[in-house]
Amino acid sequence: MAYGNISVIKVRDILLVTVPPDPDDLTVTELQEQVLQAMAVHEAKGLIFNLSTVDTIDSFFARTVTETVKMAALMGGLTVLAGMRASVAITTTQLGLSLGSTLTALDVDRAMDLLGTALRREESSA
Amino acid sequence: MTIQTDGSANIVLGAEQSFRLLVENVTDYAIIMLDPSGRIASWNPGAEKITGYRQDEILGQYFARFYTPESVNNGDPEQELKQAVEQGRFEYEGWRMRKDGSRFCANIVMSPLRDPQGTLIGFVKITRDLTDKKTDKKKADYARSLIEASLDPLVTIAPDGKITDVNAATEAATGRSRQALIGTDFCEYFTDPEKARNGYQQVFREGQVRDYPLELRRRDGGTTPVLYNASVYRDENGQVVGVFAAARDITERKRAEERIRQQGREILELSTPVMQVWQGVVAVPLIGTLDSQRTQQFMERLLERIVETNSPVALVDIMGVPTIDTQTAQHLIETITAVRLLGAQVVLTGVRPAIAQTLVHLGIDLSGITTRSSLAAGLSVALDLLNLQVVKKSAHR
Repeated sequence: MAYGNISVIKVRDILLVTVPPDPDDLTVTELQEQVLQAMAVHEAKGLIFNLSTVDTIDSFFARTVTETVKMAALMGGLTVLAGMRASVAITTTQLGLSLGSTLTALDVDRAMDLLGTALRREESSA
Repeated sequence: MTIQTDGSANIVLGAEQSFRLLVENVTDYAIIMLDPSGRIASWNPGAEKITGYRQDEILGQYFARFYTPESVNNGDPEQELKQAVEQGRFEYEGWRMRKDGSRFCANIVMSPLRDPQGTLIGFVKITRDLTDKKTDKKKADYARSLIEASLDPLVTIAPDGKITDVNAATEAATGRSRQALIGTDFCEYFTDPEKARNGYQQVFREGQVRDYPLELRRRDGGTTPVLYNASVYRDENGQVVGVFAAARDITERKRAEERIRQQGREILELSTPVMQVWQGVVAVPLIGTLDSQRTQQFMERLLERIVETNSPVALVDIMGVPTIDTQTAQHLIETITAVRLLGAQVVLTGVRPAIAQTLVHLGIDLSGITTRSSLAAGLSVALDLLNLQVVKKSAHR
């Protein structure tokens, strides 16, 4: 399932979303649509946003991603933001853009581990 | 003295009357007559002003009265009379003495007077007091010697931008003689002629300019960085004549500034090495204070290394930070936030008692951050976060 340069792939019960390098507002909005659609279709328990290819983000992107995380959570999915670049992290902080209290991981691998642990914890407390 | 009229309202004076009127009204020159033997036959207000003698006390006196004792001993008065008789009119400068004994420098013109038959009837002597002129000249010489002695290149610029005067230091600084410089455009001698032009135009507009930076072009092709202080100067009527500019060579200063910048860069390089202490753990000791520039550099370094080494834990040790203020704390918090976005976390270590006190007093909230008083303790936390355990090697193999 790919739309132009957005890719949403299902791996077990996790959705792996790869964000394109320089997403414009249209792409970002489309991303949200795609993610939520996929959530509806697959009822995934976890989402990983792979940001390793993103080299710039603006306030619209930050806002939309945070919203998407909340929306996905409402639909039963826990999100981890993975592989953010150093320069993007610095710019984001300096611009005061908040990504809320969303979980983060150094790469997709670790994001998987993190989700695994978090979802197991949820299950055991359920 | 008869006064004639020509029928109109004008009074026509005879020649003698005219002459008398003239002489009586001149106060800047001593115009006197001597008889053939050198005795004073007539006096004028100028003579009184210059020498101090009144007419009633000087008439009939021998004219050597005004000569200095040395001159009199030398036989100067007689020499001069003789010269006047033999040569006719002559002019010279010499020292004279006033009634009060003070000396003055005089310009003297002596002329023999003869009757129509050619017989000597006396002399006319016109004397001018040069003291003021000499003082003025002395003052001017003094001022000029100061200008030439100045180590700073000095220059005057006319409103059209041409150099009107320079001093020795300017010749040395440009490598050109004053003849070559005077009359040429001031702007020619700089690497940025437009900037130089704007500079002196600003002085003409605003009256002065301070520390105006320019690069002087020397004849040998090299350049010298200078700072100009310049102001307008005026004539006695208050009209602006031109700009007087002094250049200060700042080559040494620029060199020193560059050295300081270089050292600053070196210090920045030295103080933020980010080291990997274990798989998944990096550590960085912070030395000194954190200003905006250092924070930027620090953040970039740290985050890059975290990504490079794929380390989820970063130990930031602040043992080497002498004092912590609100700004530094903010910078630290900023860094920690950025690290979080990457998917790693910071353990702040090396929190000394003094720092702990300051942080609480300043009301800085670090509650979201794990902190320890030593790097070792921080490492322990790191290993724990990574689910690692340090186990002693068993005694037997």
